[in-house]
Amino acid sequence: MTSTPTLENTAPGKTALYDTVLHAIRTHTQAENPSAFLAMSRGTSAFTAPGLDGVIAYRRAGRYLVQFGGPFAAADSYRPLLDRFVAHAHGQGLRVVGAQLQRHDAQAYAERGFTVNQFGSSWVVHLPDFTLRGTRFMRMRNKISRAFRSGLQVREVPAEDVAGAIHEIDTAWLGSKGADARPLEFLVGELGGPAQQHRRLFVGTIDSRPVGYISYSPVYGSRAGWMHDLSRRIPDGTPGLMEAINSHVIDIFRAEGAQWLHFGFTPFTGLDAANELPGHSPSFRWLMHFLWEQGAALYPAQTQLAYKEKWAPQAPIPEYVAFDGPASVAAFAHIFRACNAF
Amino acid sequence: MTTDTTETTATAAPTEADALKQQLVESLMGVIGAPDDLDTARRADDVLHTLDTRLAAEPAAA
Repeated sequence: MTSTPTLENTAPGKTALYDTVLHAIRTHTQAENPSAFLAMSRGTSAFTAPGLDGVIAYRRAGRYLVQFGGPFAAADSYRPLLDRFVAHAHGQGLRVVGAQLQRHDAQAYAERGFTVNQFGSSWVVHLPDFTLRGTRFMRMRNKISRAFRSGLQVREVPAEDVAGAIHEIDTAWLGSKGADARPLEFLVGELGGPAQQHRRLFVGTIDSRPVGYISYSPVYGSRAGWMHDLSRRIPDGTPGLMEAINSHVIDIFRAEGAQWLHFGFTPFTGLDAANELPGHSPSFRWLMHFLWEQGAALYPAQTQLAYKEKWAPQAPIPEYVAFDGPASVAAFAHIFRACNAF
Repeated sequence: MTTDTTETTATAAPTEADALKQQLVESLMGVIGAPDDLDTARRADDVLHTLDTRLAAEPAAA
């Protein structure tokens, strides 16, 4: 017997599932997945098995169960839970594909016979060492100053108090992306739902008009801190808006003693042959490089990395995709399908 | 700097691997366009595995 409900209708104290997933991502941090809080998103399912301490977060897309990260599980439950999950998928005629696996996960999956390849990297800044001083940041300092001189004010607010403002920004943002644009999910953060109490939302306004926001999610493990998660702004707005909001928040986090600000995963970035594991697919590795160079229509990796690199992050942390069997174009595409990209 | 060797400046002809890479990209687009089509998925994976074999024989080309 296994359990695979979603967190859609759960809430702290209301169902065991919410507390189980939260406990798992807080406790089983050996993989150091900075995006672990994505397991708390509504619409993401949680696989558990009796007698095993941990959860697997996933969504179904077509013929695939698309897993986020590795199992968030105790060491002695990690492999048995993965085995049960794979059997659960195969029992329904489905295949498993894992995304955003960390190095720890990648090695475990490769040992189990998965084909594992680097998918991209996540990026992080050590806050106690962070400074915007120096010539490297001169241009960004100027943009931030211009944003604040334009009247930008940044406030931390409860999401439920600014639902109208968020909707206004989201609508304008999505409209600027083209007629076929769809908001991404699953491997991208969200606002609202029972997990909202753990996130922090900062909204920028100019003349009381909402112009942008950044949501931060908690990160657990040895690089605990915050994840610069969902962020959106109105188009054609003041230059440096998001940089100004994030700079303001960095000051707050530093004052609070936070150690790490994560910028999260960007596909196709930080690729390095040295990160690959034995048995990887050389074709898939080539494809990741190709998509870095020419895959903006699938995912705007270069634009996203340009923003993250403004903050002088540390060396990239490789993240992986794991195929249940040989590498598969179809399985890879279904990661993006699970994210609502198509 | 001078050299007594004959320089070859002509563009190299597309190799079999180059053609397979092009097919791989087109296959990905095909799957995105028809994600539930099993034949499209199988053909895409066939291209990838053929290219894997080709690149494995020439690791420097990957």
